[in-house]
Amino acid sequence: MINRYAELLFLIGRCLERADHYARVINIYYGMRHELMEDEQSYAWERLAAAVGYSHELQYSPANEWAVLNDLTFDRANSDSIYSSIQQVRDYIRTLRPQLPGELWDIINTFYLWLKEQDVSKLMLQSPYLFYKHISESLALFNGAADSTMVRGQYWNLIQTGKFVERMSGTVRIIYATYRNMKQDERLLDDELRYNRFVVLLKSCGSYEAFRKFHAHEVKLAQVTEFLLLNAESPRSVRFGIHTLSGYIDSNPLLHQSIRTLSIQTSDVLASIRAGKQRYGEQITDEALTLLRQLMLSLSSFAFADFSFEEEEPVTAEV
Amino acid sequence: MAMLMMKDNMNQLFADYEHPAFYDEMFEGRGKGRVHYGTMLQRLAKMGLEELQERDAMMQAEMVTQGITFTLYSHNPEESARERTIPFDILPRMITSEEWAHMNDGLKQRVKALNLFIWDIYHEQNILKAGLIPSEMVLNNPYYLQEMVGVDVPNGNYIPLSGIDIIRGQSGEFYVLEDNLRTPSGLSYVYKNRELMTNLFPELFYDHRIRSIDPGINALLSSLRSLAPDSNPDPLVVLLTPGIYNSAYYDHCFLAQEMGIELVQGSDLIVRDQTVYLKNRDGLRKVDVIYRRIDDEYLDPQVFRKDSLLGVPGLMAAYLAGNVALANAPGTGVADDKAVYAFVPDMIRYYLKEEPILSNVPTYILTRPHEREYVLSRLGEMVVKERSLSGGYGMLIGPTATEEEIKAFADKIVQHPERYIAQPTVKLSCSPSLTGGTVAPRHIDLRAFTFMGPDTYVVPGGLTRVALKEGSLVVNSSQGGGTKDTWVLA
Repeated sequence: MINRYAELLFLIGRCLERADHYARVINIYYGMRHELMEDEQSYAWERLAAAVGYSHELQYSPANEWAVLNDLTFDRANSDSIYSSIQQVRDYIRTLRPQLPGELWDIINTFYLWLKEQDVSKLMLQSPYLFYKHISESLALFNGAADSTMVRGQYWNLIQTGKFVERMSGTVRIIYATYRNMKQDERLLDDELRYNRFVVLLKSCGSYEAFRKFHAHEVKLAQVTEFLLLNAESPRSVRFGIHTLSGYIDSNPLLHQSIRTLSIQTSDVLASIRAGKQRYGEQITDEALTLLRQLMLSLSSFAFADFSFEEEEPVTAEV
Repeated sequence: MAMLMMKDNMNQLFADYEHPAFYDEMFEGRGKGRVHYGTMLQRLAKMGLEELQERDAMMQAEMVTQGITFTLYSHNPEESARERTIPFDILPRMITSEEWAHMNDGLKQRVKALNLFIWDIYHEQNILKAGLIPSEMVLNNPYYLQEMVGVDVPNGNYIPLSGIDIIRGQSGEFYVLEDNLRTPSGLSYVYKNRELMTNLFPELFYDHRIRSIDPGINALLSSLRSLAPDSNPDPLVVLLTPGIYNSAYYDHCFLAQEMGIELVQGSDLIVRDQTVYLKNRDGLRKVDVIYRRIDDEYLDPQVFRKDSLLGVPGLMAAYLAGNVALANAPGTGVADDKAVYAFVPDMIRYYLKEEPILSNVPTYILTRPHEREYVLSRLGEMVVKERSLSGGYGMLIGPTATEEEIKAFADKIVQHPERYIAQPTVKLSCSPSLTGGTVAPRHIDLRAFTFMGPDTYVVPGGLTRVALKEGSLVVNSSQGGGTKDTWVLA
């Protein structure tokens, strides 16, 4: 494989997963607005932006529905918006076109051509729910085609690596944002509101239904954290991601060291929450937040890892 | 009764078809189809306009999905980087096997002579010494590369791939209009057009026996592989592209995929010890043959344009050392110059001792005073082309130009006669096109692709280009031209 391709494949995985994550989170947050308390509603849109880690100044202040949906979905200048992510994937696949199954280009190109013509007013007209559902479905179509046509080799591994790195980042970021908000609002939250927030968190991570199968009605801090971070069987847990990653990364000692660090940091978060349970019950501690933040930072530095080979390696001419 | 119905349908489909004052590929006269189009005309008539339009819409949609596009260059950032599908005209063009045999022989002869000419001007320059071609036209040509003087290219093959543009005149005879010997594009459309047509009009293909174009991809790959240094039996062949924003990126992508060769950019290659390597993930691999789709001047910033980011530093040194082959060779542009073109028939006589099978369009060399005077006196009937430009840029088409345009070109010619050539406006043949919801005659030409290797192969048919604007004679895709599937009958 040509060296340059490694980064493109990694980015394809990341952008696909990011678009999927944004579409899911926006849909969940959009659907739960009516359940918010009155004073929560005033900053609902800031919370949505924070949940996906959108740190730029919002284009319009105070943040309103139109501005946030536009920034996260259509903004050409925001390289993380759904549009930008899909546009990047399309460009990369166009570059790699001779190397990838033909279906993948057709799917992403059709998707891109549709998305290019959309904007917030059209989205409002056809119901945001259906709009974001269409995005999720298009991505599922792409992933399904890739799964059933791609050779399991370097190309596949690099796309998957990007996908899981992005998924883990997204999950930890949204746990952190949710917990930080819960800590801020601690005095306002009764059991029902607390429950609602956990459910929103689980749904935003695509883990709600699976969670029920493991923890039934125990929608509690320790269980939710455990499920999202350490469940061995949920493809959306951080632990699952770490495990998958170590299988895909070939002999790169540096990356393997980073993966071990991630694994330890993940366990630390849960250990802290469990330890605090005796004393603080459902309350979130500063220590837990700090540990989550550290894990989040480690993951984002992982996202910039170099998967290509060093140019200065000795020449290994073909035999 | 059935015949009568058919006639009605036929009349409907071609009811408003105005028989052109030019050679019509499909009709001999008003309402009278040419014999070899007979079966197709019946089929088309049965389908009717509505059905044709439906299939046309399906075809366009499929082209968008597949991204069969090219990019128009523009100074407007919104405009540029916008991809467009090349307009595709679903009514095929047919060439009889006799016509093709003639063209096939003529093309092989022409390419052979052109290749000998390029070898000659970079070595002994016999043709210049013999006074057949003005020396300054060749040696002062911007595409004449000093770096190539005395260089022996692999197998003496300068132009493994060429695209020769052919037109048909008023009385049905063929002429060569232009030779493209640098990096001709459009081959992918030949194959995509055929694929889309076979999917959408299977019945037309049942009716006819059409020469297959499939062996062409193999022939091109063989030509490229035959250039490998040291006759390496398993060479690494790559296609060097400027990248996804190049207007012909689809062409590059398609050809790399079909031939199973790597599609690379300049930054993927590195030169060490005068050897070109591909930066692979598990190390460097030696590259044997580069099918390059970037122009000479961008190939190597150490030798040509210093600001080139598309090329590979050191590539020319590796090439001159014989460690890598380039297709086409650098410096071939001098032979497809629009003034040198006028001398190709002489080249054929000189090198091959044969009479040219395909004629040229008469061409006036404007540095010759009497030819210049003649052209200036009837500029309104002439086509004037800037020698070094291609793609339909920098042209004057007398009959459709305004007084001011003609005046402006006259001034340019007087100031720089050496930059231009003139030809009488050729009455390009017409073919019925489905355009703007109706069937109407449009001017066409043909780009034929020739692959020179151990054997020389001409892709049967080639790319028929259509000037979709009514009355227009410019078929280039950069000027809004379209294409047609082109059938050579077996």
